[in-house]
Amino acid sequence: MTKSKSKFPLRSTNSRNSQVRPKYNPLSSDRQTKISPNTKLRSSNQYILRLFLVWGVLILGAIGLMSRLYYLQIVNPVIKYEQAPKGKKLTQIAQDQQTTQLRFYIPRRQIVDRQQNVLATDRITYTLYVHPYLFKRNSQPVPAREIAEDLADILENKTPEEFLEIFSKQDWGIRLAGDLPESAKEKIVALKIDGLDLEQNYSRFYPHQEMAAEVTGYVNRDNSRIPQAGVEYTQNKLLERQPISWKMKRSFSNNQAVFHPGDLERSQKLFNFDDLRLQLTIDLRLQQIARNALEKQMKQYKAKRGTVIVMDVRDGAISALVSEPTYNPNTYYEYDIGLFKNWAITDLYEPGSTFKPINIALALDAGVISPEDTFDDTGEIQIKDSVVRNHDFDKKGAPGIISLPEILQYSSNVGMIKVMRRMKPIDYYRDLQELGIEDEVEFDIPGYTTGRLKNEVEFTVREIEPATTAFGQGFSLTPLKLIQIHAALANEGKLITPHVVRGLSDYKGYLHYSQPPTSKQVFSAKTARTVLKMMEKVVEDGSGYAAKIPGYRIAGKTGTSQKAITEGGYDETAKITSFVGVFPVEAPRYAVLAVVDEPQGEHTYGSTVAAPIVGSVIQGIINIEGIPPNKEKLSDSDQEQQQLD
Amino acid sequence: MSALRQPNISSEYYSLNYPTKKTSNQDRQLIKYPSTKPGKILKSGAFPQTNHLPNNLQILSLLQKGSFSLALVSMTASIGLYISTVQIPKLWSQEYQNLETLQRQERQLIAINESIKYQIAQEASSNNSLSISKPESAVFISPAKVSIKTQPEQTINNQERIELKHNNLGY
Repeated sequence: MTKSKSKFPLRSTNSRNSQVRPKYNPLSSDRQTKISPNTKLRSSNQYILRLFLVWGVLILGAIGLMSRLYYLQIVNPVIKYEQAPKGKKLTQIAQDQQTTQLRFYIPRRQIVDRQQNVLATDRITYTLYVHPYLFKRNSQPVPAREIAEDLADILENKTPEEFLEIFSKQDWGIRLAGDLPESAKEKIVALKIDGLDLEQNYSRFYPHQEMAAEVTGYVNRDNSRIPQAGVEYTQNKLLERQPISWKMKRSFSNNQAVFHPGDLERSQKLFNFDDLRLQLTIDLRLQQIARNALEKQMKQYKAKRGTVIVMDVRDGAISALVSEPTYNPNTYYEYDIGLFKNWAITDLYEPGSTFKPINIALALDAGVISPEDTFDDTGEIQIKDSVVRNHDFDKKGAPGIISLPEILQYSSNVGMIKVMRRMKPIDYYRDLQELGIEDEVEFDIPGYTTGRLKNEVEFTVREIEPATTAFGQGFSLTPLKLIQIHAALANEGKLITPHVVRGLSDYKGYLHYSQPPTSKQVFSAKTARTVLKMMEKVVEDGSGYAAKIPGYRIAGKTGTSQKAITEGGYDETAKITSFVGVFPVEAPRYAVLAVVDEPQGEHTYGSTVAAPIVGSVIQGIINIEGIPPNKEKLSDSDQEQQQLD
Repeated sequence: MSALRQPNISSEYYSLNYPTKKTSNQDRQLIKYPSTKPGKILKSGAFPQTNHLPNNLQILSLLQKGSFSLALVSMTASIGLYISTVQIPKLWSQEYQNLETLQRQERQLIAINESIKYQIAQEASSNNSLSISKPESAVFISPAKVSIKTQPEQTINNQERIELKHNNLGY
C-alpha cells in the first residue's frame, strides 16, 4: 500500500504533498483495523469452504472418471482380455478396435441400350446364416420360437415350424436364405439378434431378363463375379472397377459408427467414381419387336432355332440381335450350357440363295457380265456326274431366257451357275477370300467362328465347287458375316465391322469413349447400287413379297438351303430358311437378316418363314424412327390402285 | 469506483468553462485543499493512471491480459478441436450414410423402374387386342414451306421502330 502511494503522481509536483500523506494514512488504517476482525474470519471461512467445494467437485469428478475407466476396462470391456486374439499386444487390439476398413461400394458399370434403358445393373444381395447357439438380444437369450416367427414374417418362404426344425438340426452355420434384397436385410438387422449373420454379396441384375441376354451375357453369381458371355465378357475391362477401401479411425456414439476422415491424406480421393455406363447400340424396342416376330414364326413352324440381326449399314451398329432359344441371365444356372453362346455368331451355316446377290456383285465387279445380260435358264444342268436343278423345276420346268434381276427374282440356281461360270474359278475364289469369309471378325460378343471355304485346289479343280458356291451352298459362314456382306452392298460397297458397343456414355448420353468403325471397299459403289435395285425386284414381285410394305422401297433376298450333315452330303429333311432385307433402297440405312433353322411342315421356305419376320421388323423400324414413305413409291402405288379400280 | 467517476465529469465541465492556462493554477489550489475538493484531486490523477501503475499492478495486469488472451486462444482451440474431432467426423459419417442410402435408393429405383418396363412390354406383347401400329396409320407432316430468311429481317425492323418510339417518348 505504501509503495503504491509513494508512486502517486502528485508527489512530484510539490514537496508538501508528502506531508499531506500521513494525515490520510492513519485514518485509512484505522478504518481497516476496525473492520478486519469480523470480516477476516468470515472471509477465511468462506475461502476454505470454497476451496473444499472446488476440491470436492474435482475429486468427485476424478473418482467418477476412474470408476468409469474401471468399469470400461475391467468390469465390462468390449473385448475381454481372455477373448483377445493370442499373440496380439494390447495396443494392437486397441488399434483394431479403433480403426476400420471402410469399403466403398464401387459397382460394376451398368449396361444400357441406345435409349438408356438399363440392361444390366449391380445390386447388393445378402445371404443369411443362422447360428442357433448364439441366439441373444442385448446379451439376453431369446427363444428360438420368437426368432423363427420373426424370420417367417420377413422371408415369407417357410412357416415358423419349418424354421424351428432347421434350427434344431444344427447348432451353427446354417445357410438359411440367399439372394435377399436390401429391404429384407434392414428388417433382419432391426431385430438386433445375435446369431443372425448376413453376408453381403454383389450380384448382377438383368431387369429385362431374356430380352437382351444373347448380347449382354451374364456374370457368375459367386464372389468371383467372372463374366461368362456377351459384352460382359468382352468389355470386362470397361465394366469392371476396382473396389476402394480405406483404413479409417472409427468411434461409436449412440451405437452408431462415427468415422474420422481427418487422418486421410488430401490426395486420397474417396469418392473418385464416375457415372459412366456402357452403352450398346441395341434398341430394346426393336429387340423386342424382332424377338416377338421370331418367336411367333418359330412357334408356328416348330423350328429348332432362329436369329434376327438388324444392322445399321453406314456404321455397323447392330440395333437388334436376337437368337432363339435364349436364357434368363438372372437364373442362368437353370439353363443348358449350350444356350450361352450366341449361335448367330458362333455357328456356321450354308447361306443358300441369300448369297446370290453377292455373287452377282462379284461378277459385275469382275466385268464378266453387265446388268443387261440375259441367260438361258434350262431348269436343270449337268455338271460332271451330278445334276443341279432349280427349286421349282418339278413344277415349272425350264423358264428359258431370263435377265439378271429375274435370276434373283425367281432364285434360279441354273442361271446363277451360268453367271458364275464366266468367272475363272481362281478369281472367284480370291474374291470370296477378299470378302473376309475366312477372316476373324472382331466382334463385341465372344465366340465368333470364321467361315469355311473349300480349299483352293479343290475349288479350282472340281467343277462342282464353284457351281454350288454360285447358289450359296458348299461353303459356310455365320449369320453375322452374311449380314455384314449384305450391309456392304447397301453401303456403296464398303465392308464395315459390325459392333454392339457404342461406348462409355454418361447419364446425359454423351459419349466418353468409343471405337471408330473400320471399313474396307469390297464392291464398287456402282455395282452395289445396281445389285440393290435388282434385289428390290425380289420384294416387289418376287419371292420376298412377304416383306413388302406399301410406300417403302425394300430390297431383299430369300434363301432356303439344305443342311449339310457331318458325314458329308445333305440332310434331305432339314432346311434352313433365311431372308435378308435392306431398306430404304433410295438411301440404304438398315440391313435385316432373319434365319430360321429347321422349320417343320409344308411350305417352309425363306419366303414363308423368314420374310414375314423381316417385314415386321422393318415395320417396327419405320414406327420407331418415324421414317416417312417414299414419295415416288407412294404415287406409283396410288396409280396402281387407280388402275385396279 | 463511483467516487472516481464524478470528478471526471466535473473536470470536463471545468475544462469547458476555463481557459487551459488556468488549469495549472487550479491544480495547485486543489493540492492545497485536497480534503475539501477530493474530486478535483482525483481528476488530475485520472490522466496518467495508465502510464504510471505500480510494478506489481502492472505485472498483475500483464498476467491478466496474458491469461485472458490465453483463455481466448484455448477457447478457440478447443472449439476448433471439438469441430475437427467430434463435429466433422459426425457430420462426415452422417453424410456418408446419406450417400450410401441415396446410392441404395438409386439402385432400387433403377431396378424397379426397369422391371416395370419389362412387365409392361411383356403384357403388351401377350395382349392380342393390342397391335403394332402400321406405317399407313402414321401421319407424316411435311415441313411448312416458309423461308427462314424473311423472319429475322422482320423482327429486326420491328426492333428499330420500337427504338424510335422510345426516343420520342424520352423527349
